Amino acid sequence: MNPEPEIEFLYFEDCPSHEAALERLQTVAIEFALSPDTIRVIRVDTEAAAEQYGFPGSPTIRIDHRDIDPASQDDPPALACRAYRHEDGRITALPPLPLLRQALQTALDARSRNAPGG
Amino acid sequence: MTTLQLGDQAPDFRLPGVDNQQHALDDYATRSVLVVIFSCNHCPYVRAWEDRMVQLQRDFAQQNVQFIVISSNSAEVRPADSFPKMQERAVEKGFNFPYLYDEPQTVARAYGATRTPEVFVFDDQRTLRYHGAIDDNYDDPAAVKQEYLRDALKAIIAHATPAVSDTPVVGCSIKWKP
Repeated sequence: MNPEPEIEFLYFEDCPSHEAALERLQTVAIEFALSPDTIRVIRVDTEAAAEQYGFPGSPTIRIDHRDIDPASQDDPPALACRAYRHEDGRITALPPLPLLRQALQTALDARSRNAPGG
Repeated sequence: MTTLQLGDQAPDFRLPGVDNQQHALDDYATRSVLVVIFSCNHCPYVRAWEDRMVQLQRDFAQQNVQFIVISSNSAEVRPADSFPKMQERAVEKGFNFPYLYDEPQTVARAYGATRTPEVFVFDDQRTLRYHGAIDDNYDDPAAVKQEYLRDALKAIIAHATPAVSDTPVVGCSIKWKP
């Protein structure tokens, strides 16, 4: 098993938070000693592509095929901007740092458990 | 479609509000400053900023500043932006300004609005004096460095020119009818 989790960053160009969101994801990846170059960046720009990727809105981040925010992962596919929630309940268009860190930690823990001898 | 330019006059409108009343530009003729914001229900940028919209209306009510918030989004494209959903949202968030439904999308086209939220501020002659964003940080109100709208309102009330009068609009695109 590849020691590094598979990270996918899907975005819709029309939603302006995607650049800041990708920078935030890269920063968190580095915090976890992961190479930001391994992040697979996918541009979604048609309804058909949104359907194909099961894309509920921009930005969407999946780590080892799991959405970082399970609360919204089952929203219908759409070329839309995606809302996230801060811990205090505020809405934001940027994935909050604690959510990113928790998702990466969860993925790394799962890989550690599933590793041979783990 | 051309976005209004600084110095342009406010285009007229007559639209239904979530209070089931009609609202027209002339209804607010006695207001010193008119803030027209194109908005909607579903957009996360709007939802991040809307508490600040309520606070700004509260802070400037005594200076005779009137906010008018308009949704021009197609409910066919975004069902969350339907008129009944707008009525629910206004109650839920305690909107202290008229929330109007531009179902034909003609008002958005007249103003040249393209995104939500997008702010147009008119002085007592209904001349456009500020256009753009509410402030420079949708993500975190505590991290705002430039309060564009608040600063513009202070300047316009004082009959001065806002130091910053046109800023990039950050938000979702207006959902036009198919």
